[in-house]
Amino acid sequence: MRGALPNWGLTKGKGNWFHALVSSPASRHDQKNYIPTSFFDHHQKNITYLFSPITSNKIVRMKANAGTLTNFEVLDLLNSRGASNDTTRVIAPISTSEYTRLHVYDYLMETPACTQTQEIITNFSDQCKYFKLAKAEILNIINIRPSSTVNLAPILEEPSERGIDKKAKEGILKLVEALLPPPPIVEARGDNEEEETEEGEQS
Amino acid sequence: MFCLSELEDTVRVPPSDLNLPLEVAIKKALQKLFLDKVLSIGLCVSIYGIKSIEGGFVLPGDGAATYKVVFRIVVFRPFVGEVIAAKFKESDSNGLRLTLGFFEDVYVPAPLIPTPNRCEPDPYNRNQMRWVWKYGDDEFIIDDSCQQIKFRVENISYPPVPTERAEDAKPFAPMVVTGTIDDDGLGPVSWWEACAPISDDED
Repeated sequence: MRGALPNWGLTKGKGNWFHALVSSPASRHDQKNYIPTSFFDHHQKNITYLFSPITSNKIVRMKANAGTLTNFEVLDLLNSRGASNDTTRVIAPISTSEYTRLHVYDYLMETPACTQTQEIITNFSDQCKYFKLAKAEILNIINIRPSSTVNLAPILEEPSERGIDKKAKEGILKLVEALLPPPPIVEARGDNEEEETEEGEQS
Repeated sequence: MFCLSELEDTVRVPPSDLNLPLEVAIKKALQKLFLDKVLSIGLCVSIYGIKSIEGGFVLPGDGAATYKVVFRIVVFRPFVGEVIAAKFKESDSNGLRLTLGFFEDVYVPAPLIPTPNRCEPDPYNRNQMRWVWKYGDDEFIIDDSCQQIKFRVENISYPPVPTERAEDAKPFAPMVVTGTIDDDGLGPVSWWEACAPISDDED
């Protein structure tokens, strides 16, 4: 039985703007001890025995939910594995392990997750306690970063029945405005040469 | 959108990899086995880390070493009620199909598109149908020009592998996410950009 394993994936990425913004030394991803989602409980139930999809005569024991991750945490993880290193994509042919990772990375870089840090997320989830939001709603808000009441509406479930009135919604939005940085400006596709802002930029 | 899952499986490290450090070889074997594959828990995106390795036995007749490994992976598994931003991929008479880059099987069936709506043949693309939402006197088109479309997850299903398929059938989708855009703040982001931000008084 092997003991603690060394950390891998120490990034030697170039000093692009993302690294400057999110300082994430790979040592934070100590795979044995790091608990990524500080505000979610680790559900110990759901230990199921399944047939492995690869070799159907074996049994894979699994714990289906060992913690939910925000978009930022996944992006951080991919960065610490060097997903932002551009030379990987251009020179070497993309192998299977790179394909999904790069696509997820590309997707996440266009969401508000790319401007967040771990401290921001922990701080925000602490402050959200005043509003008695469900964990799923806090996760949604962090991933989507709503900037107006209409963007917040699909996230909150039955607000009137839970006593979340207009004032509470405004309070939540002000908290979002104050604590979560705005999402990046996304360039429009097609022939449009101007940069088009995402919905977060209007506030 | 992403979760951690803890799995235990028996991993076979081929003889060609035995000169690598153990954790690198096992990680390579795990990536080949699990990355980009859909298990019952979702689409595997990345190996998060290895918790323990046992074994290392060489079975008779085989040159490879077999290890029992407990590890954690990052899976893409949205929860019901999560709001996700996606891009438009295609539409047909049954509804819309959206893509996330790394995951392309998000379907919005016709009943979950805001009513009143109508479906018309796309004037720009002969094979496709185009959905149009009629609100008051305005008509809103859902097509390729929408930068981002937000939807809320209604259901995730894992259809069983078909034993027989027609020659020209669509590629089999092992994981299908059904979403709705029939709510405030959902649908193309450009529909809601005109709404006032929080400082204004709105209901």
